[in-house]
Amino acid sequence: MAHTEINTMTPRRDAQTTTFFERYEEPMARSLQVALLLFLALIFFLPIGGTLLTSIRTIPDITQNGAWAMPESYQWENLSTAFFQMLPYLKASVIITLPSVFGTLLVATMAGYSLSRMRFRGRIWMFLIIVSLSFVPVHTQLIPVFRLMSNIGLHDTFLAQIIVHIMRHIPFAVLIMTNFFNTVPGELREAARIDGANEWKIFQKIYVPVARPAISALIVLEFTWIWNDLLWGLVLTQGADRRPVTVGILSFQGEYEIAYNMVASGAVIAAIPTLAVFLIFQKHFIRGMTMGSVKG
Amino acid sequence: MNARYVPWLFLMPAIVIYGFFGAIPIFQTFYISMTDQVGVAAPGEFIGLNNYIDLLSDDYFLNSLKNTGIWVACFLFVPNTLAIIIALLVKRTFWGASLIKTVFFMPLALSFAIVGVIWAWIYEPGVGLLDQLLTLVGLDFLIVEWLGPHAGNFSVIAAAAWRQVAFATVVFLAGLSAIPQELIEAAKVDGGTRRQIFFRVTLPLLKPATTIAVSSALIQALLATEIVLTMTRGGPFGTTEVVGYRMYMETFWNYKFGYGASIGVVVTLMTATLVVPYVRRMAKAQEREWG
Amino acid sequence: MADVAIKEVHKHYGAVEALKGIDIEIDTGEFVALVGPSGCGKTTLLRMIAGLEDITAGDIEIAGRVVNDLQPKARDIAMVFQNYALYPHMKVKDNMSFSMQLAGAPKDEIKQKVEEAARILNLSDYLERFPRELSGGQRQRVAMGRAIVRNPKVFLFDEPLSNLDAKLRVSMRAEIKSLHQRLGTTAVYVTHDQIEAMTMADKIVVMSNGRVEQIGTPLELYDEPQNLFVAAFIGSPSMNLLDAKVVDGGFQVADQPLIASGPTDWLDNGRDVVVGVRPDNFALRETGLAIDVTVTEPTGAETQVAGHIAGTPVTCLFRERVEGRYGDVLKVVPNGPLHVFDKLTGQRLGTAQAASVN
Repeated sequence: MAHTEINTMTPRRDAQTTTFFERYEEPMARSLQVALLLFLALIFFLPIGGTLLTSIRTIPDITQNGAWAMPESYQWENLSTAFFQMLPYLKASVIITLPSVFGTLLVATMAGYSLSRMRFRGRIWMFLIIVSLSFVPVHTQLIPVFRLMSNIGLHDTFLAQIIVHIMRHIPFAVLIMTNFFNTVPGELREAARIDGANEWKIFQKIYVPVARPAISALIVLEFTWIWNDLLWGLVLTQGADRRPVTVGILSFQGEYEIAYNMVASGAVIAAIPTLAVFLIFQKHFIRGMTMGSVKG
Repeated sequence: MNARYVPWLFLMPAIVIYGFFGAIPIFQTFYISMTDQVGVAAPGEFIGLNNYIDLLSDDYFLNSLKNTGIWVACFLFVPNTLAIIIALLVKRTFWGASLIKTVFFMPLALSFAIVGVIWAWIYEPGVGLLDQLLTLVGLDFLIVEWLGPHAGNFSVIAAAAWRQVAFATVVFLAGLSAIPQELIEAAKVDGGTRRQIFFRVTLPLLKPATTIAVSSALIQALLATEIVLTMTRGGPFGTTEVVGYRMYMETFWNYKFGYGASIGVVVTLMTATLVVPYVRRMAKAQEREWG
Repeated sequence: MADVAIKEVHKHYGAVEALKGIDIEIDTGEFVALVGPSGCGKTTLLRMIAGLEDITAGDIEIAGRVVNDLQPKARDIAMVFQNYALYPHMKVKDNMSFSMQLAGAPKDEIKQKVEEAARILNLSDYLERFPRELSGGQRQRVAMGRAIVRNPKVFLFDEPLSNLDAKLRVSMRAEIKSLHQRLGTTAVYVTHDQIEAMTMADKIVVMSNGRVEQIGTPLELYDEPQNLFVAAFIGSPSMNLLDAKVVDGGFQVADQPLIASGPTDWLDNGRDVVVGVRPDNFALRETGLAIDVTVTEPTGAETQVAGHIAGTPVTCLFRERVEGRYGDVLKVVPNGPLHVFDKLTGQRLGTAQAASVN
């Protein structure tokens, strides 16, 4: 009992020390720091802020008053025009991204479960191969995959893009899931075995539900990454109707050239899906990024 | 107690999909790089290391290699130093921290395509956001032709760095919050000044985060392709070309598949030298865990 | 009839021999504690009974049937894990009934069984909660509920109380014991805490280094430990073990006064032995063995004195209040049974009675 009291006392005294320092020695430094931080944040925000601002202005307004003036009038049509023009690309991105995310998650969760929970020969090797593969640059696979997809008649299809995205994202996702499952106590699996569950039931009824934090983090991350891919969308497609929005924004840019308000509108429309997902699920996103990097 | 095949059943989908569409192509790239294949229609003839020999005297390639070198050098220091400063500042803020974090993290959600489009316009001479901003604050003497032959490569790097700072800030913030506050307090009680505490306690303890931030920055710099594609298409006169972009051009514009593959192999080998130490450490960590 | 029979069981991990031939018979309805220091193989043995570890050699029988190759679910056992192993995403009632759900039992039977178990364990108000919303003791009870619902032949407990605080541990100890007496199901209980074993078990198996050291009732182990290991392991504070020589009329410890005892004619004079004396079997006298006091710890009812006799660390427990500081010397004589062990083999030779000195 006496021990617990001492333990709760100690940090309280430390906390006082900290406030003492902060109160009397650092107010100047402190406000300088806050000012510096706000300044950096402002600089950092300018590209996005400027784009938003420009997207709803008129061309004469921009050329006469400069890029940083408040808009004289709000031309919301820019955004709706951009939206309708981008709609086919947006649709394609949805058709490509959702199955890719689902497929990656399914395959990676199973593999991660196996690597983390089962003892078998070659497990370490398998894991290391997967770690290494997560670093393989896209340049190493671009040409043969392009050739393969052409040869089996999948060039310029959604399916080709979906398969390639799943392939590309399997290593990272397996890594995350393995690391997550490593933190789940092995007792759960044993308790479930005694309760009479077979391996698939243990996976499906215990481990998948328990892995919800990791799975939701991965969904958000993979959604963003796959949605944002440009290279595969460019290489594996021919016509406009199979191309994702990342490719779409390029042709949009080419089309409008110096109509900056329209280019900005296009960028805003193209950015909204991932930006929205990021803002809504920021916690999951950050958790996913740090889960991927805590190891080592 | 498990039937021996059960673990492999769970691994099967991953192995099949990656094996067929990912692993086999890796080997094929190495082979194609030793052929003179043009386009997809017909396989090329085996020409040994000729493509690689040609690379050595290819001015376009050597120029792109030089530019990639500049990318790596810049990415090694600039985004990570900025990120560590931001992370330290954010960590000490008590109000509005989450909003400020969001501002710094937001570029992570944007694709390189969009970053490229936005920044291409920021750099637009005269009317672009940057020139206008500098004029506004009276620094217009700093204005140069941002995407011109002299500054172009650095301007593209700056745009990509904007996104890389976001990533590194996430990593460093996670690293900072993993450091027990007690250690910092103990250092204070031991009489450390803030500078001493940072360099002798905080920074060494941030080593895992630093490793990740640095290796990520290096890999991003080596592979940079998409942002060059969207901002400058390598121009003007190839002054912003990097090796990844060169590979794309040779393959999908000039249809020199064999030659493009050899550049791809060079990129891969450069990446591998960065990654091997990381994987080796990972192996040790995992072996400790699994016995 | 033996409910669980363990016959010549071995376990190897590669070159490491974790269990070196274990033989234990457990009767129906018995509460058996496997006790020993960490690494002695007790948990491994329990997990082998559960079917979570392969058996390298030997047989394990449950209810007369060899279960070596049976899956855990086919063995008619239930297990309570050290960290409870509650499924974090399931409510208490689903945690308790997961096995029945898997087996496809009808809904109303599940409901009835769960409610019955909850009533026994005082969990009726918590069935709709998630494990994270429960206290440590409640989680512990849910883990037991999960075992009870299955109505198994054998309960297996793997250090179930080691994560509870001291006070809760004592009350849960009593609860598990009374539960066992009510249900009458055979139970195998692994613990490293000999007090837990002593207070709960009908029969204790003391293990060390992959071997069984002794099997017996708690009092048998306390009164007649078969070797030095059991002597030192059972009882708290543990038995004092003094190197001695057998002489006429008693035992000689170094240059200390003779420990007088009853007849020792069953021992050869001059033999090297170890004499074991329980801490509470000492009395303070004017003359006797000299204790160089290290520290005295009064607890009110008793005083515990730690020190050395002829360089050997000893602990004594006195009913009276004793003053003593570091450096003081106290004189004591044994006044209870003297456990005599062979110095070389560590095996029990017998018990001599200390001659009461007045």
